This record gives sequence, C-alpha cells and structure tokens, in this order.
Amino acid sequence: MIEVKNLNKIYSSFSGDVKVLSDINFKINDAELTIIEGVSGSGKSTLLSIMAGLEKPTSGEVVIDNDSIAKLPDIHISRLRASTIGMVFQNFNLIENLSSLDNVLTPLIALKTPLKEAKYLAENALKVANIEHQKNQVVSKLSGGEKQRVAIARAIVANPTLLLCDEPTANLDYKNSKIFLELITKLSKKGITIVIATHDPIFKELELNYSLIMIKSGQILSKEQING
Amino acid sequence: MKKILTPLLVVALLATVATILLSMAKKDSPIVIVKGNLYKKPLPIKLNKTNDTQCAMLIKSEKNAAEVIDSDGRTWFFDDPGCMVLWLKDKKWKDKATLWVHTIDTNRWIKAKDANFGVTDHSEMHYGFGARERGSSKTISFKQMQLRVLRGETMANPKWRKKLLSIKQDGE
Amino acid sequence: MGDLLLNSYEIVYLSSEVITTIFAAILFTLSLKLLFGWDINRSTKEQYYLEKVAYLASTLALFLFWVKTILYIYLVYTLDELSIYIAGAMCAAGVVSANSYGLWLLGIKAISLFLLLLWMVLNSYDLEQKNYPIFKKKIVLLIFISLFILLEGWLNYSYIVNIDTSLPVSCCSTLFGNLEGENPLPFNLNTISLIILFFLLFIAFELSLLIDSKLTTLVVTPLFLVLSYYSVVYFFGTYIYEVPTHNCPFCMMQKEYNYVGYILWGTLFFGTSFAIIWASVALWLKQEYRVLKKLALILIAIFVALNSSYFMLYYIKNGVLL
Repeated sequence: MIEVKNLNKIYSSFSGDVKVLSDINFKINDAELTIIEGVSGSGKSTLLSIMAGLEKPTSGEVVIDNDSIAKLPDIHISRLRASTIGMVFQNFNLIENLSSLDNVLTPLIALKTPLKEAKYLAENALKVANIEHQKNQVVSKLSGGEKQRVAIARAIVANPTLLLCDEPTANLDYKNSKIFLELITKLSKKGITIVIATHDPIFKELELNYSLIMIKSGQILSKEQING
Repeated sequence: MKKILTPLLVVALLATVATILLSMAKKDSPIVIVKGNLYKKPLPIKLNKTNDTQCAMLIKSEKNAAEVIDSDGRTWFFDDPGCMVLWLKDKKWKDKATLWVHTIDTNRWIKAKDANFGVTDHSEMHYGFGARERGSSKTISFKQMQLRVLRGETMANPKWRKKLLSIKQDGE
Repeated sequence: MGDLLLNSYEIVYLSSEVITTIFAAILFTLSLKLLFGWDINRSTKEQYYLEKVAYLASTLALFLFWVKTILYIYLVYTLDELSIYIAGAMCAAGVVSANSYGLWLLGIKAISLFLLLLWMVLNSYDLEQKNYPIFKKKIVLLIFISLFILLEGWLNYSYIVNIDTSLPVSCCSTLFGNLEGENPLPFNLNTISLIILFFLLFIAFELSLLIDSKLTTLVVTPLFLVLSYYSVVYFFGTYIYEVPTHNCPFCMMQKEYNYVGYILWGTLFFGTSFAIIWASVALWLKQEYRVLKKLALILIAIFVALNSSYFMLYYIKNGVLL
C-alpha cells in the first residue's frame, strides 16, 4: 500500500519560493490503478518523482509498504527503486545505441542477477510488452510506440509491485497509445499497482476500474472512483 | 580448520604471557654509563636505576646530582658533587670534560664551573657542598670546592665539620 | 620564533591544515545541529533539511579522512626535509622533538585518523539499516573527531611557531639510541625475547582474526602495535640501516632507505586499526565487516614479511647477524 501524507514540495531559488505541491494526501491500495490527471505544470511529475524516491519532499512523506521512502538512507531508496518500483517516462529514457534486449537487461545488471536468468527475464518482459520481435534491434531505429514498449519492458523486468508512468502517451500517436492502454490493462490484471500521471484524455477509454485524482496548481481538486 | 587454529592460538597466547613474565622476572642491572651523548647535554637521570660511579650507590634524586661527560659522549652520573670531584681526580681528560650539577636553589642543570657551592649543606654523601646558581658571601667557587674535597676539608670529616659548624654559628 | 613559518614546505602544509581546520569547525557546528535537531520520526521541513546536513557532514568526514591521511604523510616528509635547517637534527626525529608539541601532534593525528576510520564504518552500518539506529552515537563520535582536528590545528601552529632553529636539538641516535646499561624496551625485554614476542603476537593476531575470536583480537592488537614499534626501532631497523646502533623510527622514511618507513608504519597503522574496528564493531553491533578483517590480515602480513625480509636478506648477503 502507498500512503501519501501531508506532502509539500517547495522549490527555492533566488527569485523566490515556488510551491509545487501543497498538502497532498491520498492512499493507493495494492494492485490498484490510479490516474493522476492535471495540466502541464500542475505538479504531477514532481509528485511521481517523490513517490519514486527520486526527489525529497519539503515536508510530509510517502509510505510504501511501511517504509517512509524519503527518510530511507540512499542505499535503501536505490534498492527499493531497483526491486519494487518500475518507471516509464515521457521521453522513454532508453540508451539509444543499445539493443532493446540490452536496455531491458540494465536494471537486472544493477541487481546482480546472473546473466542467464537475466536474459530469460528480459525476453519474457519484452514478450509481455509485445516487442519481443525487436529484441535485437538498436533502440535508435525503433518508432516511438516501439520505444515506449521497450521502456515498459524495462520497467517491469525486475518484477516490480509498483509501476509509475509519467506522461507515458505524450509522444505516442493514437494507435500506439491504444496499444499502451492494452498493456496497462494486462499489467494491472497481473496485480501490479500502477500510477499514471497524464493529461491525455485517452485514458478515459480504459476498460478497467481505476481511481482518478485531479490535481491543479499542486493541490488535489478531486478524488473519485471510475468504473470502466 | 578452526579445530587446529584454536589450540594454536591458545599456545601462542600462553607463550606470549610466559615470555613477558619471564622477562619481567629478570633482574634489572643499573645504569652506570651512557654512551653517545655527543651534544654534552645533561641527561635526565633514571632514578633508582642509575649508579653513582664513585660511591656505587643508586641515585635517588636529581637534587644536587652531577654528571660528567667525556668528549666522546660518554656520560657518568653522581649523587653528590663531591663524588664527581673524587672520581675525576685521576682522569687524564678531566680538564676537557663537561661537568654538570643540579642546583638546589633553582632546581636545574647548570655547568659545574659556573656553580656556587654552599659548604654546610645536606648532600647525599655528606660532603656538604650544595650547588647553587646564585652565589653569596657564604658560597665558594667550583675550584675551591674541588680543592676542599681533595684535601678532605668537608662535612664528612668530623674535625672539619665541627669547625665549619662553629663558623656558621658565629656568622649567625 | 616561527623561523620555519615561511619555509615553502610549511606554507603548503599549514595552508592545507588551515582548510581542514575550517572544515572541522563547520563539521562541529553541523554535528551539534544534528545531535539536537534530528528526529527520524518527524516529516517536517526541518528534518528533511537535517537529512541533507547529515549527508554534508558525512561527505566532510570522508574528505577530511583522505586529506588528513595525505597530510600526515606529507607532514612526516616535511619534517624530514626541515631537518637540514635545524642544528643537530639528522632526520625527522630531531625536528619532532624540537619542542614538546611535535610528538603530541603526531599522536593526535594518528588518533583522529583512527577515529575517522571508525566513523566511516559506523556510518556505513547506520546507512545500511533503514531507521538510522546509531545515528546519535555516530554524531557524538563526529563531534569528538572535529574537536580532535581543531586541537590538531592549534598543535600545528604551536609546534611550528615554537621551533627555534638556533637551538640545537638531538639527533635520533641520542633520542632512540641504545644507551649502554639502559633498556629502552618494555617489560624489561632483551632483543631476543622482543623478537620472540613480536612473532608470537603476530601469530596470535592472525589466528584470532582467522577464527573470529574478537575479544582476543582486541587484547592482542594493541600489544602487537606496541611491540611492533619497538621491534622495528630496536631490531628490524638496524637491518634496514645495516648499522647495529642505528635505532630510529624516522630515518627509514628517507630516500636512502627507499622510503620503506612509510610502508612499514602505514601497514602497521591501518592493519591494527582495521582489526580493532572489525572486532569492536562485530562485538557491539553484531555486524561483521569481513573486508576489514581481510585487509587487517593482509596488511599485517605485509608488515611482518617486509620486516623479516630485511633481516633475512642481510643474513643471506653477509652470512652474519648484526
């Protein structure tokens, strides 16, 4: 379970403080799908970064499975990120001159998984993400949709319990976005907790139950349960 | 592996303790001479472990003690300036030697030739010469002290002692 | 007064030490803040700020460790170079004893290096747990360390300002020389029993590490450290110098002796430090840092092998002992 408690984030600079998140509170149960919706600059990416332990809040906390992630020593945050959190980014953040397979292997190398096992897991993840046929292709030669699928394969290869997606469809066309939705549905049914930050209306087409959190100027406007 | 190493460790520890104990049980031989004091500075005396070369007593205090340093750095120790003078008398190199005395008034080492000596002081071997940094009408120079020691005109000589003490009383 | 203050070695040394002293002062204030403000159960702005402070403090400690290690070596080198300016000094021994601050300075420096090493191990233990179990304890240690380094800063200044180049000092042969009749060795040992004891303690040291007997390690290591000092100065040193009467811990750091002193004293210091830290952390926190144990085993083996090799090579070359 993920619990966000009294979360505040202020970016300080010489020109003054910018309050990006103020007093955010919500809970996400295991295996739940949550969509955080808001326009650009509403603070949803920051929220996701804090949930992933990439950034520290100014105050408040994010508790993932009883660990307050911002308070953990760095080494534990890294371990948590490597073993239980998968991330998908708007710009995919893949290593362009490596093959798809090698990109998916990278988190397993960090986890020191034996190579043979790692290869098996990576191929499996590529299969789940419907991109196995491109496993030996260099990433720079893939289309946007294919890249996103490789990114998803990489995010799920270490068998995470939580998948965080930051604007995953921003660089995808409608067709590829639909494929992405199918993938998310598949993963959600597997029991992975998924949080998607987006402003893309396409997620309304999801045929799943999910909770929708509307966020504006760093504050939660509404929380509701949607039955797809 | 551990089965062999543990007894070995015990043996090594026992041998260590035995070596230390055996070594500590050995008798200490006192210091008589120290070599290599080429700077001819007074050396701190290891009390109760250093022998006076003349009278062969262990030196118990640096107070009024003396040291003789030869030009090659050999150093001898004395508990009384009188002992130093007596020991030096037949040494061929006595004029080239560096002599130190520990004063009773300023409590530090000074060159014996610069020191002033009281004549009725308490000294370890009862010669009565106490080294002082500051001179007075009652003190004598090193040369005079040397002469008196060699002539036997010291507090250790009963006749002379009587004479000295009566002079002292008269003076008071 | 301060005749050597403008010597170029001293300028480099002192200005580096000024930096470490300033950093130690910063470390001191940061540590106080952490000691009184830290509460891991709070999620306030203040606590997150202190987490950053803790990170800065540990970075400073790590920086100080490396700089202090390098500066220690440089200080000894500098003292050796300075011996030409001071009448009577033939090596660093004379320069160190030019006033009463010198030996204190070397001693305090070794202690603060040891404490920094200990701190780094405790810090890594603390960060490996999820809830900082020994946070306050390690911060108290950090306060001590910063005070030690500040003390060093003062000693550095006092030592160098109080070197009077016009006063002749003793050379190593009078400071450490084997004066006839006088036994410089502890426990009333003679050279043979010293060497027997040295090797016995070496065996006990290595065995206690190998069979994980931490208490034995804690007892044996300090004893081995002391005995090693005497063994090197009064026995192995004579084979390094190939002169039976040359007893000095410093001359062996000179070029003539291939700077072997740095390796000898370095392996001894780090080897014994690692052993003590390994054993005490294992006893206290029930956490074994096997890498420390391995390093201790290897470093002390190198130390003993290097010493013995001088002795054996001399015997092989000359067929006699000194």
